[in-house]
Amino acid sequence: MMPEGMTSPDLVGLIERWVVSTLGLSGNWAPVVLLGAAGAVAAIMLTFVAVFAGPVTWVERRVAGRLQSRIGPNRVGPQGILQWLADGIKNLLKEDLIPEAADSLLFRLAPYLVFGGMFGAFVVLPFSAVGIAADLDIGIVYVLAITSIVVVGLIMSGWASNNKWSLLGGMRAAAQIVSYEVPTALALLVPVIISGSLSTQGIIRAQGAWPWEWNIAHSPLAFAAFFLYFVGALAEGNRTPFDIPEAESELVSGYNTEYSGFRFLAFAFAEWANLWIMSAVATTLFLGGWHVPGLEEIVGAMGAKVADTSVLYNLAGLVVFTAKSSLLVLMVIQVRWTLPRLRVDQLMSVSWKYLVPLSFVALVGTAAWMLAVVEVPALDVVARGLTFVAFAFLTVSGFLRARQNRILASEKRDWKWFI
Amino acid sequence: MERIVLRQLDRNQGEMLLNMGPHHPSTHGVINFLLQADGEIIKQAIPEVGYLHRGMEKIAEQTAYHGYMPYTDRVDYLAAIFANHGYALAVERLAGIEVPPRAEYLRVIASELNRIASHLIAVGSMVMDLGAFTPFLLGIREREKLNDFFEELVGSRLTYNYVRIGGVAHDLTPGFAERVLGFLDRFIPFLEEYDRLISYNEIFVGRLANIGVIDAGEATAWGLSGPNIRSSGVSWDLRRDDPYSVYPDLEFDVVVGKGWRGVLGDCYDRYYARIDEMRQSVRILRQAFARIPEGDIVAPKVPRKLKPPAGASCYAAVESARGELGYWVASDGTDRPTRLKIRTGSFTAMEIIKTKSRGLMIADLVALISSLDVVAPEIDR
Amino acid sequence: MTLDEIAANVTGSLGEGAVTVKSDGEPCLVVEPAMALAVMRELRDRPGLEFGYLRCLSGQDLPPDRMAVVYHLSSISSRGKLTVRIEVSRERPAVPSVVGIWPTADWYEREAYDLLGIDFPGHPDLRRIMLPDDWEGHPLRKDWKDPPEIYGIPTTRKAALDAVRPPEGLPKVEPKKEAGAGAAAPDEKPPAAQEQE
Repeated sequence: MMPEGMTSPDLVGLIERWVVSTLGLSGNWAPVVLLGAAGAVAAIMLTFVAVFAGPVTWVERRVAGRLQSRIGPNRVGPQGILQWLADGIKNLLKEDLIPEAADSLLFRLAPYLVFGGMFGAFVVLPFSAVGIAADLDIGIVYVLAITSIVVVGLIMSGWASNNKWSLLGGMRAAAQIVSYEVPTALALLVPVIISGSLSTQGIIRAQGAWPWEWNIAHSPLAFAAFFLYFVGALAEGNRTPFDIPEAESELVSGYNTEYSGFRFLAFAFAEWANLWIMSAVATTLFLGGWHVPGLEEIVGAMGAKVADTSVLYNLAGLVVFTAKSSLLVLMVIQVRWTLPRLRVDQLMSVSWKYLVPLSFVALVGTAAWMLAVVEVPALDVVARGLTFVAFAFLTVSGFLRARQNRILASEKRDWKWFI
Repeated sequence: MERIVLRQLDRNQGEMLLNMGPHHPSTHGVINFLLQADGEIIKQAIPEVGYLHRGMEKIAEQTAYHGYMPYTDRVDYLAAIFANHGYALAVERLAGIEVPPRAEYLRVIASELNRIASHLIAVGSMVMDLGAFTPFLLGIREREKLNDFFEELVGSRLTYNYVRIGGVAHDLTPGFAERVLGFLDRFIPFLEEYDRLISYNEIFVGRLANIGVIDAGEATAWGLSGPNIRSSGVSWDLRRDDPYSVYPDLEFDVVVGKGWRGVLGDCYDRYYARIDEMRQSVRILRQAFARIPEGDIVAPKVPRKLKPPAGASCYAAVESARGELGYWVASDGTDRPTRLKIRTGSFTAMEIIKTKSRGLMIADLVALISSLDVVAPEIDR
Repeated sequence: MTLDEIAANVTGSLGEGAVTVKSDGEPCLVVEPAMALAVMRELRDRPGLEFGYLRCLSGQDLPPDRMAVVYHLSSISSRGKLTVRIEVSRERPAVPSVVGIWPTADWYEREAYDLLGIDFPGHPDLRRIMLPDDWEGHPLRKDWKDPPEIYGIPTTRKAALDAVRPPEGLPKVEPKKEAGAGAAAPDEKPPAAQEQE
């Protein structure tokens, strides 16, 4: 845990201090250095989004291929891994079509808003102990606020396209995302009150490295909150089974029907970026973030102390964080290729009739639980143990079920089944 | 046409005219629906067909009886055997031609294989319209094996042109029966897997149950046929009720809707009726392979130039995968029909959408269209 | 139930002359257009008949002076089949619409109107269904002649070829002599025709 009143180091601050100390600049240069450092970090993050969003499309298509007894893209590069580059270049070369009857200004503006809203969230997503653009005190609230801009972009694109199907898609998107923001935000408050911090780094530091020290294992209610958040995030990201704004069999393609070229790519980028945000937030708040299990014990046994700015420590944290998030991403992808889509009214009733009350119960219940734990500390140990066992059981039984299905389908045994 | 809808629009209530089609992913072909919609809720959906009208009835009047067979493949490209079979049946009855029993069994085998293939597409596209893509491709995977069988038996994978007037074109290839029976043994577990994957999925059931309910009286009055009328609770199967070929000798159950996830005659019933029919087709196929006799595959004396008696006419229908596929053939004594009328299952199924679409949501309309299993070229012919 | 019994049933309630039985060609009931609606309603509603299922409705052009509409009916309860035939004059073909009796007749009648020009008085929405709204004529009539051009598309092979023929002045590609000699041989069928056989 960080001592009170001290923020943890972040990338912008590090770069700023490094530049000032290396070049020996005076205080007058501070704004310029700050801008430069922020720009550099933004460039790093943008590169990350691009490099994540690209290959993950390939991963998604390969996973879908495995699920559907086919191969998927395998022509561009080894096993088709460069397919995303080919797609990107193709999209960049396409004509930027703007329908004659469209509201040209809004039409052009909408993709930037959508992408900007998604990209803004990367400011507070931590990758390692220092690997965060800026550790805001109100990180979680910031994420919720900045991703809400996406709704404006989507409804704007639907309206400006001057196409009834796009308009329906935009309206659906607005209704859906606004509705699901409520249970998502409430579920996010559960780890916030557990950790007593709104900052993403603060919440990670409040958790331990081992699975039973994570927030998800804090209590059965936190366990439920994780799933509430996950369902809500699926809906906010327009992923199946909540992909009604772009339901291709109903609305052709929804709000992005009229877009082409790079503007279309911006929507796709935002969708893939959101996949990462959704998983990264879940990892940060519930799954222990970038903590490396066992590292502190080993280093402690050697009589040393882990320094936050140590390069190796940060790299290890990056690997752990990416691994956890990628597993969640893979889960989202598999859900997408398994489930059918809900109808609009069913979608709304899922949110307002089930998710919202449940997340209230989880929030209030967690608060009560914490009071109870103060009285009976043994409760904490028991609950953590039990939730961890339940979590492990779910994971293992999921794998066993998959294995059984493979045997039923008498599929050949090979390592590739995962991809 | 649009003018008619526009006149009915209540603009003060914010209603709009929405053109669904002719190029829309879920209209299953080139069909246009004019939706009078209040946001997501449909006041009425008027189907506009005719985009695929190829004048097949006119072509028949200019083509000799034998030569028309390849055209019938194009009536329903997903289930071409039935169109072949119905046409051959009508002409055989008109001209009084006896078909050898082996040919009848071959027709039944080809028909039931085709019924499975067509139903796989039907349930698959229904699932795909509801947003789940994977089950569709699993169905396609199985259908691919059926296509291979057809390639082996018929020589072609989609437009079979297999049935001849008085028989069929090709005999079984060596080992064909064993291969098909082996496939059928694996197919029943596949159907169970399919059920586990999607049929019992809560979201899926919630999307289909109690939607687009057609009761027995309506189904009869609107002339629905095939799985559509049966899932409304009407036990009507031409294989049993207007017997043709060797179906009277074969044992199978007529699948009737049960209303087990909602009201009788809802979209889910129409979906599950097709899954059950595939099981019945497997039964029929096993019996057919066990009983098929030796002998000719085409009647020995079918004249090159068929000239049925002048003034005679005949209606013959088969139970296609999409319902009743009937031909009414009228002869004037020449070697060409003077009038040929094709009655198809999709035609009446598309007709009922106008009345059934009131008050549905757009997503429900998609479910309704796909649950009726409409194929556009069959409507327009 | 045989055709004669059905006819007797119908005449029993509607009187003699409502229907006649035609037993050659395709056995059927022949109904006068004026009596059509009453007979059809009787066929659908009378206990014992209950032909509630219209399987097919076809029109037919019978030059020089007749046109026919043929109804194929079935009874779901008794599995009975029945063919009903109405013949009208070719000058002004008009058959009462049976949409009120079997709703499914809606599109069948529109199709018969579209392709054969038979009028169905009493139909709620009689307009073209297969052909475009501005189409002229009824192609399934025996006296139908293709117009030389439909929406600017030539209908004969020669006119179609003329339309795509390159303008004068372009260099012309002469066919090779051997190929020309082979194609000219009259007794040799082109390969496409052999496949058809």
